[in-house]
Amino acid sequence: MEILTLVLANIRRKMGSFISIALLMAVISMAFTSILSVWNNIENGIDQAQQRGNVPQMTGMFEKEKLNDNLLSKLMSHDLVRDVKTVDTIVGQKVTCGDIEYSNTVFLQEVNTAYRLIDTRELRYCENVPSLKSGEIYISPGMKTNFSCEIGDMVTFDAGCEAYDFKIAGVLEDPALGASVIGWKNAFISHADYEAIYHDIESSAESENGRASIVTHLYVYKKDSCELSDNQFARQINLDTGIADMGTGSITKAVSKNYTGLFPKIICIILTVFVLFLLAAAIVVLCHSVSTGIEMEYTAFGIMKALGFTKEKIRLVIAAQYLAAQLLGISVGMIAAVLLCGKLGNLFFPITGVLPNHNISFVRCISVSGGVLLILVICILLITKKIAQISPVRAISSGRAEIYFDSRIHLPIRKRMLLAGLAFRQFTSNKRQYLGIIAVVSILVYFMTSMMMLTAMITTTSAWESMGVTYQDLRVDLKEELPDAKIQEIERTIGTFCGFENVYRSCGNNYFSIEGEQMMVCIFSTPEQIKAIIRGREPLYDNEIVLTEIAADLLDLKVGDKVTVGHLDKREEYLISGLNQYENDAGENFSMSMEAASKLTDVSVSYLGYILDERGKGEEIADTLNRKFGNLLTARFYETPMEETYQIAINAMTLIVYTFSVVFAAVVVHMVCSRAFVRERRDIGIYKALGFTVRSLRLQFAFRFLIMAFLGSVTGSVLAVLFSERMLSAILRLMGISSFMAAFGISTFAVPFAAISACFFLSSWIAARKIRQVEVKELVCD
Amino acid sequence: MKESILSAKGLCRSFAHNGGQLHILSNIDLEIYRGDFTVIMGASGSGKSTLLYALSGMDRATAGSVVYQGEDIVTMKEKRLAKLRHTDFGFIFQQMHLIGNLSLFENISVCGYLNKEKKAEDVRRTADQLLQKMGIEKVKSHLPSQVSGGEQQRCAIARAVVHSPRVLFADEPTGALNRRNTTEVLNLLTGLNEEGQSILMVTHDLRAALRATRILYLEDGKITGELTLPAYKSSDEKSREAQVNAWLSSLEW
Repeated sequence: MEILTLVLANIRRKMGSFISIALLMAVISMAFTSILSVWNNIENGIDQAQQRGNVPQMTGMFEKEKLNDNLLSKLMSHDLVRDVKTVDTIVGQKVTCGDIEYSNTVFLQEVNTAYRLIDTRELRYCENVPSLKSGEIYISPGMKTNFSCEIGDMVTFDAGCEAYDFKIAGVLEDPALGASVIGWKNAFISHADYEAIYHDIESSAESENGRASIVTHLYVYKKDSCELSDNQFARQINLDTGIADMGTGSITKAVSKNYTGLFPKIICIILTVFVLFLLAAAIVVLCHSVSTGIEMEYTAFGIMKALGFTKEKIRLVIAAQYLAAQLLGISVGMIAAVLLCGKLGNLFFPITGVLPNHNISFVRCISVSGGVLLILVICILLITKKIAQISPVRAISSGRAEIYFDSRIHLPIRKRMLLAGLAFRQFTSNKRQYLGIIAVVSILVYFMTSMMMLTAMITTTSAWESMGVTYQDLRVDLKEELPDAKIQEIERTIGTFCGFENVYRSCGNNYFSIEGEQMMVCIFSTPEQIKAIIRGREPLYDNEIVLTEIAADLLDLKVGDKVTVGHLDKREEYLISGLNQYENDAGENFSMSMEAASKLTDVSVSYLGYILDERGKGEEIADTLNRKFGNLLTARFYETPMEETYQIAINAMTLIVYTFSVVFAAVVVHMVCSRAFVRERRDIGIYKALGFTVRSLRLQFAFRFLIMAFLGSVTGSVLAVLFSERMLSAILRLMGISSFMAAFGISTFAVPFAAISACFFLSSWIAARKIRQVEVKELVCD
Repeated sequence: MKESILSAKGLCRSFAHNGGQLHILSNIDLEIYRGDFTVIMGASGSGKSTLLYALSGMDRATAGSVVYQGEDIVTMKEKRLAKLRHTDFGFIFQQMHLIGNLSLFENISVCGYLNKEKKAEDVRRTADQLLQKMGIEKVKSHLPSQVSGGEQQRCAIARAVVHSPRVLFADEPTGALNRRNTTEVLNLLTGLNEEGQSILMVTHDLRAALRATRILYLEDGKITGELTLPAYKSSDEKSREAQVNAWLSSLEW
């Protein structure tokens, strides 16, 4: 009972501190509950959609004539295969909506009745999927994102023989290829339209040159008893039947799920790391609060001891009052997360193309909260060990006296910058107490700077290139193989507008098997075009390839290993000459020269990529090339180096990090300020008696916190320079970037510093308003 | 004819207490003259410290006025009062109240720095002179916690006069000191007064009161007696003590 009485009395007396701790925990709890729940909901949403859509464990794309009966019967009789289905689709390489041309493959097929129609305004499923009329089309959510289009807009599908216009009638969930990050896309038309186009293509000679063709989708389902993962299953099937080698590409259910949830996963991981940093900062603040609390209440604890309270009981009282604040904060945070979770989840819909659930993962979150509370309680119990050192006699006789010690880093107090000088003296006199705050600022600035590096990456072309991310201002797709003289003529035309650098002369991307695994191969006209080699060297000879670090890990290969690469019925042995970075297919790819690839298939330069000296002329150059060489090529100017959706998402994430950091910092400053105010109340009175105004004393307070913000920012920035690359590399590995190379600029460090400093200055200025309440006559009461 | 530098009229100070009003000062009329060493005496709880704080603008009177150079301190804005504290008034507390993390030299000079009309150089020179005068120049870079109570109080006096105030207020400046330190502090105050410094001091220590040129006696919030004395000389301390003792006895001290 006595403990409860003391706990309640302490909470009442230190309501400000109680609320601050509760607020910090609420911020952390809200963040981790939202992140955990959003990620859980997205994962479950994808699983449920894949289950509803009966997505096969492996989907292969085959030119119709390559998928013969012999191959199919081999598959059907395989021990691991439960079922095999085939669906013919019409594939076209040019699909446009307004001014936007989709650069990847779109498969046109009849409506899949297993898929559900989505109301994209309300973000919910429609009751049924209305039959399409002639001239209408359902597109996937990812395609809607890629085209930035709306229902009612027109889509033109160029099948080679003829162009067909369709009116978008709705958005159909496609759990296999519906995410915006997956290049291949499905679109759905009516039976009558499908039959008509199919007939047109079959009767057109133009379909034979590859502009458009009929492609068969092969759906392979594994037996329930098969314990292999989807990727292992696909690999085993290919090793046993060679089926994937005969196709133009394949994707497994697991890979599809991985790509669909890739972007939210990266965002959630980054935010989780951020929340862990916030938690670390909260632990520092809590320890600081407990520690200074003990010093400030030295006399009270001494009296309690004199009254017969054991040190264990006193420690229990302290732990209980902080635990109460933490429990309140965590509960409030979880309730706030209920409101936030749905909105955050919906943000990812344009990228995943799958409607997420809106559930809160209470069990998971409560378990995590339990762990967090346990850590915090252990910290409190460790800090409160010094209660044992309090002697009742000493506490009562001199416990309240504030003793200052000399410091070597004292600067003389001068008339010039008097307030700043006094603020610095206050800081150096109590530096041990402020070390915790500097640690908190360091943590926040470290993460804010890391986010700046990430956002800087989006806008820095050299950073993109060095990390193997495709970057170009102008892309020229060739409709047919062109002689060098013609390419030179095209480049001369570009040169009449501005200087340029030819960064890609690519033969396109294909799917070859490597050690039995279907993987994207990126073919370049010369080895020098293969960028971002991080180990070894470029594949200079026709029997060499380079592999991404991620692909090498997946296949357990290293530089110097020999591998078998297959395509259709051909096989060749190649030597791995190096490891590189290339973000295609989330980093699961390998690259070779045109010379090396020609041993397996016929290749020719299919597109050229340019970086322009004057980006402002990009649009004009593209128009001119299309006008002048329209029958030979399609030129496109990239207005933004990265798709807008990702830019928005990364910017939103940066905003979240900044907002949380600033709120966190404001609460911490308020808390520390309040304690400093109580401790320094007498000094404030003296300063007032000497003639200092309230404004000057508030400024002095604010300057002191500005000093802390500065020192913390410097430490945080140094930490960021040392460790951010490694941290971001580990996270971005999921995206195919295994070695993040930070792009530094003045703003990388200046923006976090400015944000934290402004927050510290303003928060401490506001918190120091209580100085008004200090009356000089209080000094008499002493 | 003496020149009045501070004038109180109908000064009252009361506090809320148990739902009613507790009147500490009742309708006090008072003049403080230039060059005087005025001492306010009285029993504990008579309101002498309250009167000092009301006159110096550290506290606001409930009613009445305190006029300084034509301005009423009672209604003065906080910013103006702050300026007054670092230009015209100086204050010595019983508990010294030095800033713990500033050295003795800094404690003195910081107050001078506030005065915009004074050059920093002049402030530092004055501070050094005062440290010498107070006999604490050897410990000028020490922190308050590293020096004795007497040295702290001498530093507090130096701080109070660094900006050459027109009036020096002192609230029981010897209350926390031993006999030797008390004498030293009183000698310093007397010396300052001899140099023309106007001083208003509250004390219940008879030895301190002997240094006064004018003693006011406060009882139940009212001035009930006044004694005027010639300037202090250590040689006539005994006769002075007898005179003050007799006067205090007449007031039932």
